[in-house]
Amino acid sequence: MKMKATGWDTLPPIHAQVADEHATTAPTPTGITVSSNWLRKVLTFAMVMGPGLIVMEADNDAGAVSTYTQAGAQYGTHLLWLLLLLLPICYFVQEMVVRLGIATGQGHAAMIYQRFGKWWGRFSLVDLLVVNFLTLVTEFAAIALAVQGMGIDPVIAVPVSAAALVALVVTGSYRQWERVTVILCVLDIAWIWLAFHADRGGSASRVVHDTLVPTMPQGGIKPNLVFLVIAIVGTTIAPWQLFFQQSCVADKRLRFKDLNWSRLDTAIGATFTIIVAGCMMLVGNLLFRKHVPFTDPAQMGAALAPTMGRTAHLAILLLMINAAVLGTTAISLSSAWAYGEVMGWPASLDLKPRQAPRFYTAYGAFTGLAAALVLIPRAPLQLIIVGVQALAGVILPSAIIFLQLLLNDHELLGDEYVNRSWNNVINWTIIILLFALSIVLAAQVVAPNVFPAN
Amino acid sequence: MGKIDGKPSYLIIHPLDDLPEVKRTVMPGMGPMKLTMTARISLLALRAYLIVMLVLVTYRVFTMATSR
Repeated sequence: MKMKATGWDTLPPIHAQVADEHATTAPTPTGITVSSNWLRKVLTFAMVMGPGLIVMEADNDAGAVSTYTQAGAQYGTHLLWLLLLLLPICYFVQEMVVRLGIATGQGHAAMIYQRFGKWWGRFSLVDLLVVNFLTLVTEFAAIALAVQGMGIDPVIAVPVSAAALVALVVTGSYRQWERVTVILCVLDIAWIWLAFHADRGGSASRVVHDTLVPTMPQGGIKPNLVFLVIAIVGTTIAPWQLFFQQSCVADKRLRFKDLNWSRLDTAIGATFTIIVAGCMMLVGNLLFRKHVPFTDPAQMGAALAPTMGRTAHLAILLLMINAAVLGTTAISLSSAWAYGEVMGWPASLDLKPRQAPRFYTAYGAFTGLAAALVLIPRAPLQLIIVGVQALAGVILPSAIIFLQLLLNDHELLGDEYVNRSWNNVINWTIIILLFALSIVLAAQVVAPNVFPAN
Repeated sequence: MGKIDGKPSYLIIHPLDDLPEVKRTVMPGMGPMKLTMTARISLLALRAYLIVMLVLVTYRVFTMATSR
């Protein structure tokens, strides 16, 4: 079935379009036959899992590595409890996205455009594209920083990374992209090894205590602490995640019967991500214990080399690159999917580049331009980082409001997939909390003198 | 679930290999979501807040850029 790309005014369901093409060309579905019910469950989960793990682990991107290790370096283990608090928040927000994606088979940008009109559709898209692009610049800046630490020229490494990231998606196979990306996610297990290595000689009971019991660092609540807490929240729950996972679920054509497996995928992803984030804090904590100032994760790796060894130093730099690569592929895809959905273009990783040229061009353009910007001498990277934080802080609560409203859309979803009352209570609480943090963050950026430094 | 040689058997199909299913899509004529007056006013307030905040953030970033 062929459909014409129609631009802003009408909006064909892009992922459904791919599914229609699949339906007309695909023979009777083939699968694997097993005789054990237990094996059936394991294999079904293995086939469904992916979007949840990827969206969560890609959230531990270069900015997150920097934020979590900084939190550990400045406040030791005192902020571990915050991560535990963020675990259910991450899950509840992303679970809504999964439900919406499975029920409609469409991306988040398309849903906002269709259900809230052109103004909100375009506003959400433009906001997402701007914040995502600026975030991509920070990812490539982290790659440049890490390769410099390994003695490699960023002028070579950054374009090579960008080319590899484009090569990862242009295979025309969703499954191939997902397999490689899941492997990159699993590599983050190395943070657990690093944390054990860093915490040698530390107090395990203190780690457990500070994870379970909220404690305040010495000196009490100071502006720097408040903003680090906001940065941690903003890093852990980012606007692109909503768009990414819904499009990913739609692109993978997850079925109604996959909902519970997909929820499990999201829960495992959230738990793994929070554990990895905690491990990053524990690695930073070694700087805190040694009273070494923190500048960035690459400097942290070099500062810890005499204590943890050269292997650990190299591992920190490689994990920085891995975090940036994961973040880049997920963020670029969320932009390209959203852009394609709103423009009415074919936008699927399961299409070959000649079948979805504008989708792949958008992905390549976002990735390539961000990489090029990092290589410009004296590019205003600090300004970009401030801009990313402020813009993400401003748009995140509003993005979640639309998610919440969409999940109460009885007309579209029927009674089966809309939020239950308890979902709504939890989600409005999250929205109010995020709005309060967003206003404080925006106020700091707009009027820094309102919250003078310590 | 089926049976092979009297034993239960299960066919597992990857979502990408399965036949597409009918989703809950926006039907022609459904149009934008129906909102209560309170929700409508709240969204208008949100729109104003976002426009003001984005202008302020942009102004602030440009100020920082020019003062470097």
